[in-house]
Amino acid sequence: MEVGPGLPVRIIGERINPTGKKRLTESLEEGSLEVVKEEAVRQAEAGADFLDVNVGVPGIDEPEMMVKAVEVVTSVTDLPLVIDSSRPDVLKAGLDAYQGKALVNSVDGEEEKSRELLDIIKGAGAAVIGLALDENGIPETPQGRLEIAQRIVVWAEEAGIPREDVFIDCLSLSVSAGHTAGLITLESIKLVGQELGVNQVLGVSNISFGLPDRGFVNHIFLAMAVQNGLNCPIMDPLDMEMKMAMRTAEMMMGRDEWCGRYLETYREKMTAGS
Amino acid sequence: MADALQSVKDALGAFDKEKTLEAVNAALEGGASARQVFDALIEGMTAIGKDFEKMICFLPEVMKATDAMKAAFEVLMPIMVEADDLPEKVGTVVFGTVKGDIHNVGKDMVISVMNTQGFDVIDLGVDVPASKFYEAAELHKPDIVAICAIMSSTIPIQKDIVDYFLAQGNKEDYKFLVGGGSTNPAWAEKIGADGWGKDAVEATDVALKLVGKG
Repeated sequence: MEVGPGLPVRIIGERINPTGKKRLTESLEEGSLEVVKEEAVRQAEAGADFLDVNVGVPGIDEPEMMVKAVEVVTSVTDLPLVIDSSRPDVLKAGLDAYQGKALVNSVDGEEEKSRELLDIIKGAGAAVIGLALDENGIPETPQGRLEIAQRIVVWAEEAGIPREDVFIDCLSLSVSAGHTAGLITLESIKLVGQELGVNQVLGVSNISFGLPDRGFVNHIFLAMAVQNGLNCPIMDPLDMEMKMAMRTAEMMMGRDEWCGRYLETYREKMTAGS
Repeated sequence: MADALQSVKDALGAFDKEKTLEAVNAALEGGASARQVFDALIEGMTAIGKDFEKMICFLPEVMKATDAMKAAFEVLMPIMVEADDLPEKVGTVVFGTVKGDIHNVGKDMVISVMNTQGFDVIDLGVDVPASKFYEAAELHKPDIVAICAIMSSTIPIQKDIVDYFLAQGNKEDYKFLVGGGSTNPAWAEKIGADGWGKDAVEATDVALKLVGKG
């Protein structure tokens, strides 16, 4: 699978992450990987291009659980994995257990910590997600987020990771708490695309927190983000409306010849609905 | 005068800062005391809090109303101080999101609703280390230390903060309120917190109980 700006939008399936998910949290607490396995299968069938794997639950042996999760997920799908944790030891355990080329979620603009991780990532031949934030928080301007992204790309290249293996996450805050939150993210995505030409990931659902009819807000924001250069949304591949929004945006940007992917997704939606 | 106070509530209920300030000044000119206007604002804000709970109004509107209310307080405070007619303070809260977690919206929501109930909230912001919670508590001597964490990776830090106070021997000086993400009452109990709220309204209700006003 090729990934790049201008190529089809790729979906990073977000469902293997216990934050806010009771059933997955409980199963991990019990040491069971049944829900992880089930979610891997469902997302693969729904057309995910990558699977994010996060097993961060308080009170468990997270490195060990990450290893088991990687084993279980790779036993049911060949999709590339996104090894996701806030802990470097968990990321390292996941990378060691994984045979394929992983994407690591994530490093950020804190230099010492990120450079250390980048060396590990390089050693594993993996790619990396870089978050546009640092010890001072998330910059309030597109320029500020670009500067962090630039730093991360430089550190990655110095560690021997090529630019095409660096995915930048410009981050979205909630528009209900600051009415320019959406605009800042969209402009950041555009700027990062123009200046760095890198792949970009984004979890879009944070944008709608605190608002009614969140799904609607998420769909429109996803479409706008794709228009501005987002090419790897972190999303629920089972959410057909989200996928339709994403495909429509690609189509409108002239990147879906004969409307092929739009129609394919439309048929999926019809099948799923019947 | 009842009309004038109703206009204050209406203007606040329309989330309109300009109109709220106009109505506040009109009520004062019409002979209402600053304290009466203040109470009308709190009543109006309580109604907004209830509408928020019922999803009749939404976060940006609550925040807009809070902004209007704060502007009105700036007009009223000096007059109430002058007249020595200050409202009873319900309680003081030191509030923050834990180190490593930069989620602010949930916390801000709770603070907005707490403000409507007369709490004085000191907002420490996000990514707050345990030592900063502790220093702020020692400085402001709040009734409640409120700790927000959203991510499964940062929720355990709530315990670290409570333990920090425990280690300093000051845990019993404060009530601890936790919430956010997949936290739950069992977790709150396990880490030795005094209260937990599933959302802004419940957290505020619990806070009121913790200060003996619920």
